[in-house]
Amino acid sequence: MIKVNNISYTINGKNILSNINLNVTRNKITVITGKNGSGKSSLIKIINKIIIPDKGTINSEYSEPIPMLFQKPISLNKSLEDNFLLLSKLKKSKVNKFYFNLFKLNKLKKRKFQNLSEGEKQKVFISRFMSYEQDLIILDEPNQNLDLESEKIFFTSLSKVKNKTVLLSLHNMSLVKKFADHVIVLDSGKIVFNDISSKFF
Amino acid sequence: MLSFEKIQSAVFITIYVSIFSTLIAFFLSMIFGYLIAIYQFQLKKPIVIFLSSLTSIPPVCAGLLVYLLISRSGPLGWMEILYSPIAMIIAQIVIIFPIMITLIIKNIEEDYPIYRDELMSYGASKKDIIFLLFSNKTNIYITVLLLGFGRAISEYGAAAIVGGSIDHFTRNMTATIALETSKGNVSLGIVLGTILIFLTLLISISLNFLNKNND
Repeated sequence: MIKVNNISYTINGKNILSNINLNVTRNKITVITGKNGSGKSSLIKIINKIIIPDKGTINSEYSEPIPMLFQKPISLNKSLEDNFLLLSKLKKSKVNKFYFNLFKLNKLKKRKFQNLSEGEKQKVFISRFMSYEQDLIILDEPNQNLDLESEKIFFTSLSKVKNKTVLLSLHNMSLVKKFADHVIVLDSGKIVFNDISSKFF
Repeated sequence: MLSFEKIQSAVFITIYVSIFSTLIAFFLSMIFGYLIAIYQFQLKKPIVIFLSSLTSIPPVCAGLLVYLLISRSGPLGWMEILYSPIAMIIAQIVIIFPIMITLIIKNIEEDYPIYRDELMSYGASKKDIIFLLFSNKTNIYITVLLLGFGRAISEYGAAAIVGGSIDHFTRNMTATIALETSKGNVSLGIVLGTILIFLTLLISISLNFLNKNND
């Protein structure tokens, strides 16, 4: 579905990513993992064409950036519901409320977003992103601030989604083991492992 | 001796000059602040450093600069605004504009790439991105307005140089306090000083309240 060819990326002379080659396979869950600062978020943004690399090419079905879940998503000084509806309003698309209902956000929908807990905010960000239906799902550390139960609910439901390609970055190795089809490990901007999950664990 | 008329006049001049200078400086800061924060251009860094260094300009120097511009022999002497409230407003703008624009640039420069990346992937236009950023930063604008107004009302020097401290016309609170105290009319100075402290405290409390709400 997406082929990344020999990507390199530097910021102010510092190598963030060096000679990255990888494939994102259709209808599989591809997980990028690695330590903080290993270049996961930059790689995801490059794959989604938000950042232009210094070197290399990306062969993708998408010519423009598509909605993704960012590590630090933006929030509006409005209600939970307004924040949830931001993407579908901009896209003028149908609203898929599956995750909104799964996280039981309906009872909090009139609450001021700034008064929610960090975990509740993350549930809104996930629900907002998943409210827009697309074939490629890109998530940058979706489980941050989620409690264990919500994390389990989310990943279980994500793994059951049919005919979707998922690309996500994760720290938690037990989640990687449980849900990844393909694992890519980054270390200081270089790929140190790139194969199917069973070969890693 | 306490003169209610003098107090009323000084408070009125101070407030209306400060309100006008704050609003004009805010308007200019918003336009130029957003442009500088959002767009990349060659002289961006030197301009930001220059504006930042102007935040600590001594008010008397700002007053002197405006005086040289608008005095009879200055390039804007033909406007004949020296020793008028308009001259005081211009001098205060010179003092508070760098403070306000620096704060706006810092805030927007930090947030714009975050908004741009996410909203661009949502299919938003540049106009949508700027509108959402603009409408989501109201607390910062209030902070900037209050900071500018607080600096303007407590300023002494610039407005006195270009305003000329003319009774009932350009004599603001700080100029009246200095003048009346030097004449031995300490009680009037105390009353005006108390009002000024009350106003600055009110601004400080409002700022703290806003910062608490932002956390």
